Amino acid sequence: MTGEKVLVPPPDAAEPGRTDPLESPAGRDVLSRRINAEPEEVEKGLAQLVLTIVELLRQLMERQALRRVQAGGLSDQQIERLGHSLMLLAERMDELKEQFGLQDDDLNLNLGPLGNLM
Amino acid sequence: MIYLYGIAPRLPDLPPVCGIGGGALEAVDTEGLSAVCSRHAQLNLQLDEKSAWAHERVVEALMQLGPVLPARFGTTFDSVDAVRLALEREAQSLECGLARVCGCVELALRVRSLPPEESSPAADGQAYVQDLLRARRRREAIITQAVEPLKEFAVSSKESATASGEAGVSVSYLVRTHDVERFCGEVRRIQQENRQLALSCTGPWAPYSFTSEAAVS
Repeated sequence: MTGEKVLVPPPDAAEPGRTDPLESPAGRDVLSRRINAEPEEVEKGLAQLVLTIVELLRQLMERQALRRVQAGGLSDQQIERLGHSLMLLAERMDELKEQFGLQDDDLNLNLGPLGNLM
Repeated sequence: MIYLYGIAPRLPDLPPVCGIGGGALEAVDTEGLSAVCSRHAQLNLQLDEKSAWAHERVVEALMQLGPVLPARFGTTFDSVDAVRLALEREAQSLECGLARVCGCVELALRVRSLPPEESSPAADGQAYVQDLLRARRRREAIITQAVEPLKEFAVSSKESATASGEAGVSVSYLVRTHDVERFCGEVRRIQQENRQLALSCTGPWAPYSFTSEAAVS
């Protein structure tokens, strides 16, 4: 039945013809977008929300930094410092995600008519 | 607790399938709409393969009957009255949403660059910036070569978010049922002409990514 939803498999697929339902549109936009208010999970739920905002700001900083680099006018030393700061931020973010058991996809919010936050 | 699967134009009959946890389907009707639900004394929802397919099975059965606005997995209401109230409150946007997706399905496209990105961490700030710029260029190339040409075969499209630095793109397309084969043919053509990309396409799905203008949760 619904287990077979692959219309065009990727060229390097190990097992063509199978779909992971949790990666389908049916499973993508779901519980991970909600804060879990169960007592044992509320800390993670709150961390997810806070880290989503932090990740949004981090990505905005990254994009702004790339725009500045592409526009030219920054010295090699300035680019090095900028890149180093961004790298440290990304590393710290990875540590926090690991600490709270979160994936990249968890750090997003469905804003309804406005689409996804990131 | 009422678990919602989707909203359809008012249904004379329900499809002969069970819902989450084997729950029986019931319809909450208003003048022109039916919300298809199951009633549960207690429901401990877990996003796992079995539950995701149980939800999808109901939605697909509804698709066989006509247009449907699928609810996101895990959409619940406290009571039937709350469902009916939501239906009545949002009737206009729901009817517009149903008209928009009528005769269409969602196809999910994933494109990534081959070979996969090297994952070794950047040695310094300069290298990190160069990695970001390279990923951005690859992503822009993917959009130009694969994502944009397929829009011609779709009614609408929505790009999903990807992590920064990741050179893959996920896009959902709303495609008329009779254009699905043409769309897939175009995916294959793009794949053949762009060996440096890996394209995959799944579906047909209910239009999960195209319900947001209508409030179904």
